[in-house]
Amino acid sequence: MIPAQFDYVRPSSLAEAVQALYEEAAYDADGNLLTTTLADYLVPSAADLPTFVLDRTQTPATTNPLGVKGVGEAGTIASTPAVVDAVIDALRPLGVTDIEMPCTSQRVWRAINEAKGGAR
Amino acid sequence: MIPAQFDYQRPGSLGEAVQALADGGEDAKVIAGGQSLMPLLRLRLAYPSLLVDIGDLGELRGVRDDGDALVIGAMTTHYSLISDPLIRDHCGLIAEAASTVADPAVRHRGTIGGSLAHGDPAGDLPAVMAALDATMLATGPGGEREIAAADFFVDYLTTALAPGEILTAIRVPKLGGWGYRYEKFQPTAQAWAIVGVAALVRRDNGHVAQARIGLTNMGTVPVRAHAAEAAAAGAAASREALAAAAEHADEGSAPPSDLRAAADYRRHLARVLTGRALAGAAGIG
Repeated sequence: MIPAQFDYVRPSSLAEAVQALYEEAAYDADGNLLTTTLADYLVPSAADLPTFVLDRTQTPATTNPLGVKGVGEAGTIASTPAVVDAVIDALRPLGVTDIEMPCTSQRVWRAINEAKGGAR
Repeated sequence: MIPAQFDYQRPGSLGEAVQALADGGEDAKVIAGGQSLMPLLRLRLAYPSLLVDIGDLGELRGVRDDGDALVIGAMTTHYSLISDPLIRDHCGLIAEAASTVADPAVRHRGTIGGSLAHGDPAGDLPAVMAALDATMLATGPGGEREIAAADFFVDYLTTALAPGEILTAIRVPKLGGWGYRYEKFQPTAQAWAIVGVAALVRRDNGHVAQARIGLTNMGTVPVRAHAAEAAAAGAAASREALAAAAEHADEGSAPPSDLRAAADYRRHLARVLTGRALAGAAGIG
């Protein structure tokens, strides 16, 4: 393993987690892709992210002589549902038990309104 | 993508620029920092036959003191606005809003004149100019004329500038005695505002004497929240009273529904952000 490379790649894959809040390939009623530029298909930048505290667990693979495995997307796979779970957990006191990805601010606002019985 | 073919001129004086635009006819466009126009060219949403680059017109850069007003050259970049001492001392609302525009690269290239002449209601500075009752100074073949901000923004991406006219400067009042706040809600730090609110408040002891509110992205042009302004005038300078006034913020507006937000959500945001902006401008938020 190359520890520096490992630590370098993980913040970028963790950054994918906040894509749970707005990443979407949106189409219109005729099937045309609406999110055709990076201004529409939003990408997180450093300004949108918290500081990460990184740690490692090391379990060598048993299926190859070197014991290596890929880690590039490990952060993405675990962190995205964690963000969605956090949103649902925050809304749970209102009676919200599910919310579709991406959990945009508008979707969260609608979920709160619906839980309150449609009040403004 | 690659832009459609166009001719390009870079005149050395305002007179030459006006002449070049006049000679270029209706399909000639001015390019300043290019941060709005170049994406349109690249996507082929704009097909100018001629681009008149006003980048060499040094007289259009910078801010000068004009008694009870400031005159801001149209080629002044967002970055310059943020760091300019005259803006900081006399019209901090402009610096506050300019500091939220896109990202550092755009702020170093993009200009106040370009942002206003582009006429995008999702831009941050148009609503600020509406709240300030700014005056646009334009020069064309017939000479110079003044256009009030309320008359300048005509429709989506459409201003009162005639073909052949160049926005040269913006005159804004000095804000002695006024507090200010620009509140912006966007999905990511670099994204356009879903809704923005520029608020100015003049206090009279524990009350609001006068409020002026401009809304970003709540219609085809930047709009003034006149009903909320009227409700805030005379109200107690408290969060509760200003939040109650802000409940009128979306009255009379016709916000768009798009990929980012439906109209009803924009109305909600306008009310919430106006409450925060009024409180901030009143010095209590």
